[in-house]
Amino acid sequence: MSIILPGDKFPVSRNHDESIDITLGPGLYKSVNSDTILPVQAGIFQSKPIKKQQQLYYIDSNSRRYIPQTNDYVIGTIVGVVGGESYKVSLQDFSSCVLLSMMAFPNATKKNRPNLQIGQIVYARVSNAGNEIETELECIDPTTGKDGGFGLLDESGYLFSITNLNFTRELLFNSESPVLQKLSTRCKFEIAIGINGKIWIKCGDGLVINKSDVDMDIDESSTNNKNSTTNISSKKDILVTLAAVKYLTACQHKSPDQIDTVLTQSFINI
Amino acid sequence: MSRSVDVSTNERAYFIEGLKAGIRLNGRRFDEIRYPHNIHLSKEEYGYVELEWGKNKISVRVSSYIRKPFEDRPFEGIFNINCEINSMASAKFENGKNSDEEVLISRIIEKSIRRSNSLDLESLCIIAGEKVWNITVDLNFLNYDGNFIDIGCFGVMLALQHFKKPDISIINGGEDIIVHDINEREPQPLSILHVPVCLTYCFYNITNQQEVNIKGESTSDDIYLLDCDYKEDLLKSGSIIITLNKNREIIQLSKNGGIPIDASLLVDLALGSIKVVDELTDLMKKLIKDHEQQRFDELNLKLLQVGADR
Amino acid sequence: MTFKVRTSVLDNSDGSAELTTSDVKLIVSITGPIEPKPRQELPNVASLEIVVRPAVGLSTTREKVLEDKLRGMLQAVIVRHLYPRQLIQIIVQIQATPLSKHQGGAYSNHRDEVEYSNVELNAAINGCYFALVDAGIALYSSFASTCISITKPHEINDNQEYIIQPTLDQLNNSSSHHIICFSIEDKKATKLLLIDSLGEFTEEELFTVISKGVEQTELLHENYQRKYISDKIHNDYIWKS
Repeated sequence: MSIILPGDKFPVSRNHDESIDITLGPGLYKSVNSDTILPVQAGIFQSKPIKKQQQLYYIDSNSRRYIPQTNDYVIGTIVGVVGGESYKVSLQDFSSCVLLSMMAFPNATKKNRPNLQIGQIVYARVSNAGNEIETELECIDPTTGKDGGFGLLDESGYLFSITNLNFTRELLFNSESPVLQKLSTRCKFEIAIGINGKIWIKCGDGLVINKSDVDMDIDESSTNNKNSTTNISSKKDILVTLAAVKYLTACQHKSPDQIDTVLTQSFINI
Repeated sequence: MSRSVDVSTNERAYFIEGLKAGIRLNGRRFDEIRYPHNIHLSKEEYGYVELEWGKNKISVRVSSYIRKPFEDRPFEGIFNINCEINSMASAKFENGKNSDEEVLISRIIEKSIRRSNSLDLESLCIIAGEKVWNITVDLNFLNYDGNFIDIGCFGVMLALQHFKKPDISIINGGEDIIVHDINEREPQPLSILHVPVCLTYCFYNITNQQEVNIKGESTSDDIYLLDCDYKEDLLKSGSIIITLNKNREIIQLSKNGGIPIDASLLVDLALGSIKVVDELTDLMKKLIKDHEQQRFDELNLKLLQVGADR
Repeated sequence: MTFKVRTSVLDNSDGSAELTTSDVKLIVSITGPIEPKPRQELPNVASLEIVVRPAVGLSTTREKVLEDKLRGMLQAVIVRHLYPRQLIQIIVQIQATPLSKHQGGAYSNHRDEVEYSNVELNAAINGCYFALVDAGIALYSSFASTCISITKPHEINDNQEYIIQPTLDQLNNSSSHHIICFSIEDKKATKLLLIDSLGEFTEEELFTVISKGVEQTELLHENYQRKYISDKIHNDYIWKS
């Protein structure tokens, strides 16, 4: 593991082989004025061949603030509508909001628009990101034109944040990661991981909101009856979901051999 | 414009359905507080305290200097509390600008501690009309996780009890004073008359029956939570802050808008708080005592003690 | 010399560091890049919002001066045009100063504190480095700062001594003291980012101080910065097998 600090010398000599193209990833910066490559973040230096004659260099470093990059999978909260054409979406508290066009949904037309409310959450892909332009999301798989798993994440699941952004990246991309596999021994769950540090999770049937609850407000006695029946069926699922949240939040600060203990602790009352 | 935090409908739904089923998302009971932990009482400085309360984190410093008293109050020392919240605690607080929430926090702490006379101001007088102690408390909020009032009040009271001011002698028949170096003479603790403890209850109307509220009748479905965290605070529909002390006196009570509550509930809340108040006061007492003992042992003050053990 | 650092101490900040030296204790938090208020927004670079909070009392002009010095220095090391139209908030909360420690916290005299604000500046710069690295904000180089004082001429032989990281007593008996901050590239001190002096001194003395500053900042980088940051990275990736 080679640790690199800002200002250190770029560890690969560049005139080594002229025929190899270099791709710079996060943490590395090519100075505008000179031709030198500077590490600008502290982290673990990584180098990977991506194609023939092409080498990728980047610095693996952890961050708590999400900066959008094209093709990232994210979970955003709808916070408003811009110009009747796009939704304003928040990816992280206090960060600049991004845009989600109403046309960026499968089968969307001028007439047939998605109907999302403020506060609802979506799973989306960053389609356009760059410093100089406004970041855009889309809820569509560009290769098939279908939803591809993107779109509204319904209220049966719980949304929570992980501060350690690299940990969410690990959960999403490393299929070998024991964290989710171990969780599956305890409960049945459905999960959506956004690498902006947001995770949507639903254990069992998740939260079952009886729609009739709302309509029957006038008749109090029957509402109460309804309440008690829904409570029994979904209370356990809520508890399991919360335990899973506790487990996943704790895992970001634990080494792999501690996972089992964390799991037992989180599910202690269930 | 203060930065806003958005809560998704998913979190809201889970929160409300959880309450209906008797579950708080953080796993606590409805009337359970987060106890302070990682409490650090400085050994080098009197009156410097750092503590955490859930994910809340604060540091409190008490300092003193000698000044002329106010004209109209020649026998009283001066006591003030600075508490400015900056964006270190959370980016939702703006720097150099007081949001309503910040004003409320500092007012309540001020009301609970300063205006309740918990610090004996007359004991701070050195020469009437000439010299008095000015005691300043700096309350710094480092990390926010809901309920700054309760934690701030606890921190300030702990720091005041930890603080010691230098000993003084009056010479030349009341003309002059000598401030003794703390290494020369053991400094004096402040005279604290009572220890106020703030407790904040947040209310939730989980049925969303607007009509009932307009009529001013409270529903039995209202749920209250003690010591709310960040998320619970965002979703609250009203709150009440009760300050009590161990003598079972209500020092202040404030309810700033929000949904109406029943008078009988208020009595229940006050009675229910007594247990928590006792626990927190005893905790403070124990912390100070342990700390004193530790200092006593480390500095070998026993050698300096005059008089025989009885 | 005590030099202790803990990073990621605050849950709500994107980066934070708590620095404890023999005299000063402070906490630095970084939030950003986040959305700025319209009046803060700069079209092609990130704007910096820097706040220094004193250990005792409310902010005065003294803190404004510290903020200004920090800003001048940080603007030179943060790769600001990577975050155009964004805001980076940097809050420095001073928790203990040489003076507050000297009197056991019991007695404070605000006048004296003005003179030694440089010691706090020194700690603030070093604290900012760890907090910025913790937040993953892009930096052109590492940087480190040190404080050097020159004693009053000796009564007999006029000899003057250079003291690294002086204590309060040593500062009281010095003829001048200096804060030197260097950028560190490839483990070598390269550019002088900030120098701040108080007292009487000659040009020659200043050059000696600067060359000692080079040595000290390189040592600080080698002995402390690398160590604490590799600890931090290790901690961040604790979940990796």
